[in-house]
Amino acid sequence: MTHDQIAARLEGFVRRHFGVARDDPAFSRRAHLFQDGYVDSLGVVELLAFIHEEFGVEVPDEALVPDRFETIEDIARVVHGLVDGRVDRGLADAPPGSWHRGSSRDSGLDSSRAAG
Amino acid sequence: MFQLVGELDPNFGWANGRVVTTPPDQYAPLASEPRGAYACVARGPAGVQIARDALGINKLFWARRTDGELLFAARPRHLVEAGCRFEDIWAVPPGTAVQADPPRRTPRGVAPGPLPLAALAVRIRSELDSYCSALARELGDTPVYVCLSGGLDSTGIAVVARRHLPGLRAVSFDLDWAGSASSGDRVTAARLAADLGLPLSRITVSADELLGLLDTVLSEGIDWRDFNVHAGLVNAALARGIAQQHASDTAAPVALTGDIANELLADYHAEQIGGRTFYALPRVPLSRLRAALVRGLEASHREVGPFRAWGVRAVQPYAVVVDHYMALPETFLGLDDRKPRLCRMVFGDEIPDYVYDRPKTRAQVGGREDGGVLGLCLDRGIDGQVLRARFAALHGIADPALLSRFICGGRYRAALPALGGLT
Repeated sequence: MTHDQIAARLEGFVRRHFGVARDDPAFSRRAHLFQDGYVDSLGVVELLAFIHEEFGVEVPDEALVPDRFETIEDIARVVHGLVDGRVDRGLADAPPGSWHRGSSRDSGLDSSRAAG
Repeated sequence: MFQLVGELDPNFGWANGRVVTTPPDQYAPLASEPRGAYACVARGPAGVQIARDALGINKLFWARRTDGELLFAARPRHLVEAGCRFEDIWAVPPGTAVQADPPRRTPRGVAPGPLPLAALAVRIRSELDSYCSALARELGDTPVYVCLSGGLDSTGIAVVARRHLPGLRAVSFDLDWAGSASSGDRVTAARLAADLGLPLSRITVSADELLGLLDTVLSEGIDWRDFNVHAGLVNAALARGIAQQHASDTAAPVALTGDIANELLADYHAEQIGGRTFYALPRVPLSRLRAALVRGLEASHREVGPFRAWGVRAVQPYAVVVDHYMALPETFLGLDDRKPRLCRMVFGDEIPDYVYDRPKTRAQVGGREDGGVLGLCLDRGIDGQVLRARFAALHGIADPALLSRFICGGRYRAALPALGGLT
């Protein structure tokens, strides 16, 4: 599946599920979904559920970082990486000058279970 | 190097049958990851230790100031006051365990097979008993309260805690608003306290008194979303009431709460007031909803934060049994009566029937026709937008839209800072 195909499905879901007007001039695959109010905090959970249903992947916590998960284009990139197994869950999403180590993946808690 | 701004919240972790109360700024290598509430950032002999419990109960934020200095704090507001921009603040991810000596690397064991429901119930009860017993030893004669709402979760904590904490007292919240009678929560809590033999402190606040706590709740609760702010207001009133009774004590009182159990069983529903829906839930399958609610525990400090503001240490015993709850079979999670059914197995008839028979209610509503704290806030025009704007103002944020970048998907924006050669 290509990046563009993923983005198209995501766009269809966002338009349908969150009631984006067909003629909304501000909405595009580069619109800031959360900051511009297209998707609220409940909607994120619904969006993640859709991604799981549609593409069979779970978006890790580390990917839910602003700048990397903000627009449909961003999200399609993350999903494409997960589908292809290319996303390094630990390092892909750290902000500049930061690193991940010893996150919940290393903890005693089974994070995959805790995350459902 | 780094600097700690303000104090971190006290630790009440749980590991290897012991309560872990190591001061959060003190280096103490972890043999295993604590459950319960735990956070730490400390310098050790060979490097820096940064830790945070798996649920993210205790908070730990960081930011790099424009002069390059790395700052840690338990509240974003402390970092803002120390000269950091809100946009530059990150949370340490829940479940973090970084230490240099010895390097932390816990081998993942073979996961145990699924346990039958009855066995899980036994383990939940056994571990709650062990935790409360250990708390009793740790706390000595410190005043300990249990927050009674008259619901199953707080009653469960009360019946376990009273077995181990002989001086246990109960505390109940009510709102004196528009001349209404005592809430269902207060009436049930009073009856329950009498039946359990617990002295009850009745904390009743006026509408104006309660709303006067709002700024503290927004800052200390680190959240602007209505369901958590309203819960935080209840907790702030309880905390203030407890603190007033112990103004001259040297040891900070402790408050046990039944929080977290609702998330662990996805036992929430939206509230309807005046034909409008509040506290809406995501429209996803139940198992996914529960996962979202549990992971969302990280992005609010509605319990520990408001209590801490008045010098009361909040402890949430259900946080130590999270693994057993998460192991409950999915078929059980689908039962409408899963909460009372599990409580019957864990607490049996130690919980009176009138608590089992009570309709589910949230502390923010309190079983009141007028909607309790939720109804009051709406009546005064304090809706979600107002809370969001006020939180932004308190943190020096010019554009409240930026907040959607701070809490995303039920989690604070999270990463670990680069520590250079310190680790």
